Order: sequence, then structure tokens, then C-alpha cells
Amino acid sequence: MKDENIVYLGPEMKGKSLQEIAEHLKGRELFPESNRRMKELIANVKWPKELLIEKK
Amino acid sequence: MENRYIVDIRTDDEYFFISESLDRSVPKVITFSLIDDINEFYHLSLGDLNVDEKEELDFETLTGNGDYFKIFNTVAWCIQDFLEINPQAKVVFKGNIEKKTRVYLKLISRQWSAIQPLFYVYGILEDGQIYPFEENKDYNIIVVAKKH
Repeated sequence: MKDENIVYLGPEMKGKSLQEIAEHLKGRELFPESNRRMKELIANVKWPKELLIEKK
Repeated sequence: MENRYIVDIRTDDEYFFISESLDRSVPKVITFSLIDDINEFYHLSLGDLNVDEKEELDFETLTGNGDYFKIFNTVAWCIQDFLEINPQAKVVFKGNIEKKTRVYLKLISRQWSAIQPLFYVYGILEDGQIYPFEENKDYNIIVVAKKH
């Protein structure tokens, strides 16, 4: 079973610190496919009221 | 939270930490992506940061290093922290494979007495029906929100 949640950084990030990697990824949507799928999965859910924000 | 990794870097919606196994270190990221801005639903994803495009990390390899629960405890800590900072947010998540979802469910069941007073937790089934979380039941998607 392969894990689909992998962010490929490219060899230029080899040896970089986590701080540098975080900077490099700034502003990028890291898991667009998985976000899209979750949006679809919850599209028709009838949410209980405590999970909804009351419209004023 | 018992036995978790310390988050090294935190941005508004991302948490970075390093998973340590016996033979290697794997940088990981947890993201909270806004997928419904009206009701503030955020999708939680957990992923690996890989510098080598050719290498495909295998789920079994990653979880065979003894830090399975430590990673999921770290995820739980991040959810708690994110909801502290964003009290209106609701976090939705599932494992990218069934096995991971089961681990999340097991972890919630194990700590249910501590979670229940502080958070709303719901489970969504395959057919889209949503129910209040019950211990030791299987769900497809988990939803967590802070009680006010």
C-alpha cells in the first residue's frame, strides 16, 4: 500500500533544515487532491446545529 | 498528551515535525486546509516531506518503526492546539487508508473520557450519515469541534 500523502520537495531541498523546508512550502496547497476529495465526501452531510455557525 | 513528537515549526495552518525511527528521520507535515469558509470546516492532512522524487515511501515501512501511536498522538495534539487558536473551526479528517482511520478511532476511544467534556466529536459513515461519536464504532470520517 503506497502512501499518497507525500510532498515531493525535489533534490535541491536535500540537507535543508525543517525551517528552510517550511519557508520553501509557504503559500503552497500541499494536498489539493485530498482536499478536493474531502470536500466531495462532506458535500451532502446534514450537519448538526452545533457544528454550524449561526448566520446573523 | 502522552508520548508525542514536539512540533518544530508552526504556521497558521501547518505543523512540521520529525518522525524518528531506528534507521532514519522522516520530516512530516500536518495541514489544516479551509474547505468550507461559511462554517469554517478545515480538512486535516498528514503527509511526509520527501526530497527524493524517485523514492516512494511505503506505509508499512513508515509505520513499522514503532512510532505509530506517537505520530497519531502528535496529530491529536495539533488538533487541540489548532482549535485553541481557532475556536470556531471544525476539523474533518480520515486516514488516507482505512487502517489509519481505525487508528484515529482507536485513539479517540482510548482517550474518550478526556475528550468528551471539551470537544464535539462526530463520525460520518460511508453513506454520508453523521452521528455523535461512540467508542469502538467504525466511521469513515471524523469531525472534531471545540465545545464553548
